[in-house]
Amino acid sequence: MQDKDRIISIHYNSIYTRLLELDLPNVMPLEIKELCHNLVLFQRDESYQLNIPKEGICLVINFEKNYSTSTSRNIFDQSWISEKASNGNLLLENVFEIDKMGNSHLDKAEAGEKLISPVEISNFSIETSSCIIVQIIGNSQTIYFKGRPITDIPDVFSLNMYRSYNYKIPVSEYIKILKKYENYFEKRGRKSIFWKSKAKYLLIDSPEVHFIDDMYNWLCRNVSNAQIDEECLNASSNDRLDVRLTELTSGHLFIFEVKWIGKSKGSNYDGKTAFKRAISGVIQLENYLNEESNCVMAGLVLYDARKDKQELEWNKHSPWQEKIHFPPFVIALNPESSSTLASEKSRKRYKH
Amino acid sequence: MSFLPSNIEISNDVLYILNSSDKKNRSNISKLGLQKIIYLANSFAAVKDIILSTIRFVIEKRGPYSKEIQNSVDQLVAFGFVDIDFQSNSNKKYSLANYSITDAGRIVVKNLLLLNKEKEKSWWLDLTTRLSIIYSEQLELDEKSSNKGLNNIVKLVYQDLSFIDAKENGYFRSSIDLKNKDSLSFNLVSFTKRIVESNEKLKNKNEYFIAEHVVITLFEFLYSKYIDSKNAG
Repeated sequence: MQDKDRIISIHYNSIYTRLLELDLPNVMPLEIKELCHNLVLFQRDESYQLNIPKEGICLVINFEKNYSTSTSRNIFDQSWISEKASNGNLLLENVFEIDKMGNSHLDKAEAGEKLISPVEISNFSIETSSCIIVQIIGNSQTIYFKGRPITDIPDVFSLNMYRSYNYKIPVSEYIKILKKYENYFEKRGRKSIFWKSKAKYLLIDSPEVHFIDDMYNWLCRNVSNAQIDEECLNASSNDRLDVRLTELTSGHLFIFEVKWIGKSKGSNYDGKTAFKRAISGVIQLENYLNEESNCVMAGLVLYDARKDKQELEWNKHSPWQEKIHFPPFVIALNPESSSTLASEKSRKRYKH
Repeated sequence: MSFLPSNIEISNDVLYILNSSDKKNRSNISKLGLQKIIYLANSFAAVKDIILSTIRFVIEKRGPYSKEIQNSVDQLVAFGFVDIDFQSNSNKKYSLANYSITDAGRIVVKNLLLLNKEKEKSWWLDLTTRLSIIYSEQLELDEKSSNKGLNNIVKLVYQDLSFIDAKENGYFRSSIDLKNKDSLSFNLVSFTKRIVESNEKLKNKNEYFIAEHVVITLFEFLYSKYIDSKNAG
């Protein structure tokens, strides 16, 4: 049975830690704590649960403004969402700009803006770089900052997507960790956040940013004994490591380079260029290893979004450095639903 | 005839707490909540070497209790700086009272805050009060909770290491030494502070930022201990 107090505590802390790391100017830890508290309570409250907006809501939190006036409304007041829902306003607009205390910007609220898809929200958050954007859909909550999802809580009432501390996996079992991530990503890979056009197998522009965020958020929920960093600097060079795990007791480093193959809006790494692209990740890891003496394992995580997923011949690259995991971890992305994939497989198997 | 409470320092602490809760739209604070907020403010004072008045807390049935605080509150009520919003003696074991700051009390706070020394104390008590409100609301989500509002903070105070130590090694109404630098609470504060200060990501932050983060971490520690004890029980 999941402990309700523990669920709340874990959700609070995951948001608090990430917001603190953003280094928002003139924002103190207590203000962040109060904001996390209000966000989680807002979503768990009965008034929200009875009026869950079908298309979700987006709270644009502007840390530089103070919208507190005698006439301003605080959206964390229980009556706010009930009133919005009964007036039918949530069908017309779902973007609400608020200050860090929850006071709403009335002009913005009347503008009638709507943001629904993660790509739209991600782009909007690049435009509003001094704000964080909280997308609340049903019981899920995702926070965007400067175009990237920085926290992703699949369900504020549950820890099913998290592993409780006793069941988290130590970083030394990284093969098991990556296998579990692969299983998790099987469903996740169909999400529109990654695809520009599912029919054409076309990824969004710069999809690696989203892959790194996705892997980072998952590792935060599932690894027991490591400090996890994304896009951090290498020890003695200006290279950026995509994902780095530092084992807390020994200080040993486990680093992952994220690459993708397939087609995106701006690039094409399909066909003959796929292998070249993939192996460039291995070469990058070799360079990192020359600088990082504490590193005990480096791994390439390859997101394969090709329609025709032909095996890559990793043996063509030699010599393969001892510390680089062989073969690389390949995560398949398929836009089709499970049933379509199953029919496809059975068609191939029984075509004779 | 004097219009000053006998222990001005403690009275100021009480006014800062009631003023802080007033600003957070919490119109009043219970007798129990007030005692426990001041206890936590004293227990964690080493985070920023805050000098608070020496208060003698003793072990009572519902956690640490100080008669001096209650005397100061009663005097503040008599002088019109604090209101009693609700009082009931239906439960014969202890009286229920909720306190709130009056307009006269707000003017006193405004004038006190012209002094630098008082500003820091006020900031410290505001921090402790706001965190106590957050954690009380969090604890109130538990359907089995018999406490209401800020009374819930007593669950965290029960987890305070100095209180547990005094309870296990002392006797009913023995005092809790919060100024002792060898105490468990003092050591925990020093340890937490050291860990937070060594965090590279926070190295450019000012001392108030660090102090707030340390106190939040300490509250989280008490909360986590409370969940463990609840599950074990």
